[in-house]
Amino acid sequence: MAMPLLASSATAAQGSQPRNYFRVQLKANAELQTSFDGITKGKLTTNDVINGLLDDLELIVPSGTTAAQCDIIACYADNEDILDQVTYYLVRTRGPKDGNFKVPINPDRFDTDGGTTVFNRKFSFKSSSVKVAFQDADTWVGINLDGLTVGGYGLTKGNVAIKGVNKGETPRLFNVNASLKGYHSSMVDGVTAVGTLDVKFGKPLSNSAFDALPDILIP
Amino acid sequence: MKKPSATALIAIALPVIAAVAWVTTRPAPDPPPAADSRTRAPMGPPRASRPPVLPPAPLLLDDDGLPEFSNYDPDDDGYPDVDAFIAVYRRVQTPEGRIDMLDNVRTFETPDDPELNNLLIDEAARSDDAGVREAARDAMFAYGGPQAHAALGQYLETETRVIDRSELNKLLDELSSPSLMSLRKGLKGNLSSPPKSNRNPSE
Repeated sequence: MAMPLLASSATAAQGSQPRNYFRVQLKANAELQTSFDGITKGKLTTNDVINGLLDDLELIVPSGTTAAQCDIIACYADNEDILDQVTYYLVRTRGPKDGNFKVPINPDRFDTDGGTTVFNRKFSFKSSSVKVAFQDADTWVGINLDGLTVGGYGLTKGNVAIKGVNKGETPRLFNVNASLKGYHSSMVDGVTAVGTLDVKFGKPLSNSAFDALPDILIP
Repeated sequence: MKKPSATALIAIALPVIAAVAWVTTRPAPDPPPAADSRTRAPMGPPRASRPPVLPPAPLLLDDDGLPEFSNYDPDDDGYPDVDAFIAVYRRVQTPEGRIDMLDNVRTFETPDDPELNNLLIDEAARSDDAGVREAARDAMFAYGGPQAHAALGQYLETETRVIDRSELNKLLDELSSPSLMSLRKGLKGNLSSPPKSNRNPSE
């Protein structure tokens, strides 16, 4: 089954427009068995992943583009209750405007997949907030950057916080803050490592801002 | 059941250290102003010749009430300005706004700045909000450079009562870990290429 990482309740804020684009942050720590009696520790950050993607796209993105100017964006189309399609983009929204772009990320490089998802919804109108907790028993998150593989499996934790809900109104997805945490195995040039992987789906990028970014098409 | 990793232990230990730091290093309240103004040193030119103090420009907020990046990127080059970042951070009062800004520490061109380090350490140790403390720690761990890590080590050693020395050493060891990307570059050539698929082979 494809990727059911996030849930929303019908439409989102931003007027009647659904929100489809969320920034992704990554954090991994791993211990690698580098020899019979040696262990090396390593960590991976969002900027490391973006740097790997920029290496991939070196010839087609504006020269001088840095990881700090870019974001990884998860795109959830149509805001279905259970989202089974997600695509990822590398976008540049900071720095000189003529250098901005959006470009789809090759699924081989950044991949998420999942299985059974259970949603527990709690509606609390008095506090004007709705919390949606979900358990995902079979989620996979993979990042593969030309020889570097970091993967998560069996990650089981996530939350969707919905705010600004008033009594009598349809709950709306106002902000997504979901994170997946768990043990993972990773491979650095064939060396298996163990550690933790934390993927956070956070601050939205508005639909209009995303749409306004010039497309870069991979030849 | 899997044994918790060193990272997990550190994640547990740091809040404890931070909590100890909060208890043991909380600053005393500011002293009251001197009652007799005659004893004060002159403070700059007479009022009439001072330039007028302009109120700070209103913060630009997005649809969610979070501060826009442009508030702390005055020259619009895509990288935050440290002074502007800290000034805006002090004006933002909501945990959500502060966490969003701490997440953006990764957007600094050179995040290893002493003033920024002090802010991160202070927030990691003393913020009233657990999410802010976590975001500050994450920013320090992920993007702090040698100066940041040295400052954090010095802070923990001198300003806190370290209960478990081995946990502190683990934390400092963790901070000095290289990134997997740099590790890969170091290992490349000695090892074979990995498989393309990330899937768990036992699946």
